[in-house]
Amino acid sequence: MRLERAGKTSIFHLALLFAAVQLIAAGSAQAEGDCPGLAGETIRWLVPSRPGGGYDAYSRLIQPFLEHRLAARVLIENHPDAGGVVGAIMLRDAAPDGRTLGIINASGLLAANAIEGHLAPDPVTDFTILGQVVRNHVVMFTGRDSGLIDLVSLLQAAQSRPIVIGVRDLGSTSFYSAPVAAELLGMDYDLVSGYVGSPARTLAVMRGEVDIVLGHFDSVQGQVQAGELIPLLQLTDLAVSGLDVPRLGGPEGIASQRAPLTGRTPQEAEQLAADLAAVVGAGRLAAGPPGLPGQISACLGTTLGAILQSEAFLLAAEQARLTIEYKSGAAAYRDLLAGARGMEQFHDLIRAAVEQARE
Amino acid sequence: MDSMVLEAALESLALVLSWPYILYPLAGTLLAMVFSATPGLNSSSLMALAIPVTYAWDPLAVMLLFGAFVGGATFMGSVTAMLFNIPGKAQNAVTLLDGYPMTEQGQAKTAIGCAAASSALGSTLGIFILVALIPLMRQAAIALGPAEYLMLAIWGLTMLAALVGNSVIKGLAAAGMGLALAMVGYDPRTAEQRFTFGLEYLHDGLSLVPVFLGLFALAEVIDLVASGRETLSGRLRVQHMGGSVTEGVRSVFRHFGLFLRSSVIGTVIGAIPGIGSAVAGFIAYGHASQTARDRSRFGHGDIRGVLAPEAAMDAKDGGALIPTLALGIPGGTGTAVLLGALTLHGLTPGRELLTENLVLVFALIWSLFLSNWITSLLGLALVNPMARLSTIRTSRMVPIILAMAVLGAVQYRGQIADAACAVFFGLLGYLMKRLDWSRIPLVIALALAPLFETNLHLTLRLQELGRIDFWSRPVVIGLLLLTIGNLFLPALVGRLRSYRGGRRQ
Repeated sequence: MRLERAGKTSIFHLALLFAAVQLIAAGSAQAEGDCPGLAGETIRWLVPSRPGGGYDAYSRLIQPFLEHRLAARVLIENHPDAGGVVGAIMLRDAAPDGRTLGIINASGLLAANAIEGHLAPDPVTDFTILGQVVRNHVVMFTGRDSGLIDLVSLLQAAQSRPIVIGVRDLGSTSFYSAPVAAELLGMDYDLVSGYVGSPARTLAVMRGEVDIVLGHFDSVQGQVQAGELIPLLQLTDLAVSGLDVPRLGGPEGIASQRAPLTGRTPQEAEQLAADLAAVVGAGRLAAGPPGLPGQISACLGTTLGAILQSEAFLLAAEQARLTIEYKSGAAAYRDLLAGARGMEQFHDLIRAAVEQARE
Repeated sequence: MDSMVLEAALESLALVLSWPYILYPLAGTLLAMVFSATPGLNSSSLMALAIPVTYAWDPLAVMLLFGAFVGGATFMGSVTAMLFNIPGKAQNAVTLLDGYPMTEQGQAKTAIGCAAASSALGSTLGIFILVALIPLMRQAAIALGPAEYLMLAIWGLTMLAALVGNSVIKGLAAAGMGLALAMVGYDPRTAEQRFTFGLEYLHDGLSLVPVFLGLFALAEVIDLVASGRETLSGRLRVQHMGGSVTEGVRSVFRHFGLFLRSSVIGTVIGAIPGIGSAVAGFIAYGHASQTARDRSRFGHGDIRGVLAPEAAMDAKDGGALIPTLALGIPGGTGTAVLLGALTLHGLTPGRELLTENLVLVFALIWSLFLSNWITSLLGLALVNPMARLSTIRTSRMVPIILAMAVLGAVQYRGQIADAACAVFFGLLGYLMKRLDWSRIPLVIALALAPLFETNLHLTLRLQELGRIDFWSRPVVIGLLLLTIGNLFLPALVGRLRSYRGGRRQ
């Protein structure tokens, strides 16, 4: 690549950086933000995953824009334990004053709520939903050295042995979507749970410890482009942009095609795949604690919407290879209710997977 | 070394040293130092702030700036740990184990000199290993798995045998306490609650920073008040203090083997995603005490207890770049933000970055190298004023240390409950000190237990499913031999010495 020597622009860059950092770090206390009550305040933004994963990447992308719009300091905190449930509990229990916000894995929380005795917050009732950042585009992957090249080769391998699936932990998207997808494919499987964070699962499948992992496409786009990971199947019924692999759902989806092997009619299989897509699609939601006063939640929702639809933000997201699918708080909540209805179909499967993990 | 790699390294060095590019690592280092020294801020927040500002910059400038951000925030945190027993971050706790006793003995200048030198040299060695591994980076990044991580944790935990202090029973009990405390919170695998007693504060487990601040800083405040000591160092004038920077720097070369081993430990641990610097520091500390002939000084101001963790924690930066650059998998928060910055500038980690954009990779590496040296040199230049702080009267220092410790605990996560946690552990730490219970086994067990637990479950499951063969993995066997050595070698050497002594008589 060609590297141009910098001249006076470099000094200008650095001066600009010093000034910007100084201004932002000082909290811009005098500035009037979009939500006047929050200007000059420190806002905790809780992330239910480790640094480096998709939730973290989205949060760090939003952070500077939110700081600018609110004229407040936004501190990112990662709370990955228990499939992100701990971070969600902290968000639920925070004071409803707008000073604690975060991103939640609505799909994972819906699944965790299906587990008896689990303390995970209910995403339908326990948060103030500010908006959808993106739907969850869950994809099944394998490593480049796994010997599997596509879904056909995976299904062939599954005829002779159980497929080993690496998942995170209870309450995570991968934990519940893996047994449901395997069931719809008519594939025998073994779960290995405890790979906390997308990086841990990615490395596990690259090392060949597990055959496949399930994860958000955004979190592993770089590895897919570099040829390290091979995508095998999309779990949604909508096509994921930039990804050309079979889909589980839809009339022509793999679930319908494999229905006879699982003892279902194609329509039943398609419906189950649609239910799974609804749960998965509940997505990554920006949220606050329940009972956030109407004025603050409306202001934060509007600000978030303005950020997520702004040209500068979308450009930054594109450069970071992160998909943005903004929906308002009300629209995201409707999807969440649909996901909750879909989840009722999978309670037995999830409970069986939990038993296997706890053995 | 591959000629392409060498060529890129030299071309990049020439660019980095040219005007005005040299300004970027300098400015980045200064900013990182300021941010890491400001309560509530750290180099990751600095990187996050810098990302939007640097959108339009050319990639070389971005690499130079972010390399300096990664490297510039490492050394200074250890200084407050050594001078006041205040670990600003969890990783700094290990440096105070021997650094603070050295300050108490009037040897602050030697401790800071040693920390600065081992920090700069450790990072340099970590970078050398990183560069040497460039052609094999992918293989290196995926070489180690849960079985190796498990053995690494077991190896670290067996080093506790050397650190139990005067009483084996008390030492083992303290280690047990550390392991039990590490289990507080959700089970990482099954999400069941353990020892949370219905308190939501405990759901996420105990945060290391308030625990360490309490066990060391607050316990020390209580002890200072109770003991009536005049100053931290027992000296009223800096001229009366013993030791020197030169002595500290020389100690690195006097224990060069330990320095090399600690740096390698740091680099390897750095390459494991999700494992913090604290683990690297504690394992290196354990290794230093385990391999020392005379261990009686560890925990009481042994310079090797400063040297080993400082070298390991700074070498970790080089290791952390291995999975980041080779696979796009970050090792921690800092490298996660760095990865975001790379992606925003259209740089995809992996084969392409390591071949077609090697000059940029080296820009990052050189900047990391320069910033580590700049921080250490600045640290050395400030030794005298910093050491002078240990001659200020206790009556003036106690309120300052108390305020710094409590504020540090609260500002770490913005939770008031963390201050209460620090106070609880302050009382526990003081009691342990008074009753002659070593706190070192407790903190090491607390730091290593999560690594052990997670990877024990994964290893057992993978072995059960036949996905790994634990006994056929060379690194596992190597670590197993080291573990056996840890457990039995001291006893064998002791017996051999007494046998030889008996024969001479």
